[in-house]
Amino acid sequence: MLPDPNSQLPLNPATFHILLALAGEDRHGYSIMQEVARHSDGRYRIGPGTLYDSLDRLSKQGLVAEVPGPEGAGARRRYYQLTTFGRGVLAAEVDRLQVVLAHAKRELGEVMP
Amino acid sequence: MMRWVYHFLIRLHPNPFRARHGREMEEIFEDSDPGTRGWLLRDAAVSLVRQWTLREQEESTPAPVEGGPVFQLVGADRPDAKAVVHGSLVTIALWLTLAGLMTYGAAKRLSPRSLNGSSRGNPQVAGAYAPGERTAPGAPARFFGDTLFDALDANGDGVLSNGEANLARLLLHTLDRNRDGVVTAGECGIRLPMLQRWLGGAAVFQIIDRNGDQVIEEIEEWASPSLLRAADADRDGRLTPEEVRGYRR
Repeated sequence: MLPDPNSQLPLNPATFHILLALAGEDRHGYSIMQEVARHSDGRYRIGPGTLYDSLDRLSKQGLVAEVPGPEGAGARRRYYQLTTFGRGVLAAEVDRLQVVLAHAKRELGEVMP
Repeated sequence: MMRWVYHFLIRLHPNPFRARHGREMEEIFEDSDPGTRGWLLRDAAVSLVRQWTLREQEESTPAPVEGGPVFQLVGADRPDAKAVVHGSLVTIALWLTLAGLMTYGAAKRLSPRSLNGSSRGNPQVAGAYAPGERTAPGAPARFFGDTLFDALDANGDGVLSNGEANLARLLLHTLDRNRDGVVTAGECGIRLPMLQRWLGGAAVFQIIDRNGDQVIEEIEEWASPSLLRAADADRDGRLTPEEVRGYRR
């Protein structure tokens, strides 16, 4: 039985962006860095040291898993995949952020003319 | 240069992390834009600290080659934090003890008492003085002029020659670096190597600083050639202990 995804919340920014980068497809480390930069419009960058440390930690927590690379990719790079549990945690975080976002918009709407 | 530093930082990472990710990290650095390499260096430095301090490393012992020797590690490859702290405290304690012993030994070796030791007789015991001793028999206690005289009498012949008087003047003038008329322990300490070569600065200071207040008020008096001449009662160009004592009185 999988643990409750809400027990992992809130996610730190690096974890959130890594899981988000892996939501679409399996990626290796450098590809994750590029995807994070792309979907944040270059406003958030993850260095290799932070990235691989986070990937090790997320692997131990069962949020991501190392998988074989696609055909022709060779064995030079390790590929990572979002697990079912990881996907559930990411979805729970997005829900939490939506609630926060809605509350923030309401507050700002009341304050701002 | 930056590439070399980055590779060096990667090599400093714990072995399991380096074996698992080091090559990919170096490839990322090679493929990166030159403008981002400073940021990558900072990231590697932060990662290095993080891996050694915050992360538990799993041992990745390679499988032994059949027929080859098998090596096993006893315990973790990282020093235990408690052992590091205890080792540091013990090292500091040992250094402090050693420094204390050295200071005590130096003070004992340079003290006025040791300079006026057995070779010069006990001033409190009448008749215990050999010919040429500086303190007259029966004197109740050694006089300030005697100890100063001892310090300035470089060759220990019981008289101050012109050369020794000039040396004393030069020495005392040198001690008073700021020319304020007093010589502090700090002024002696700064000049210690030179003074040790001449007379031993610490010893001179301890001898002359009669009341132990770490300031010598009267030293300029003795540095004055006119007063040295004034103390030379018999005008023979040499100062004896009696002349020094008589002048002070």
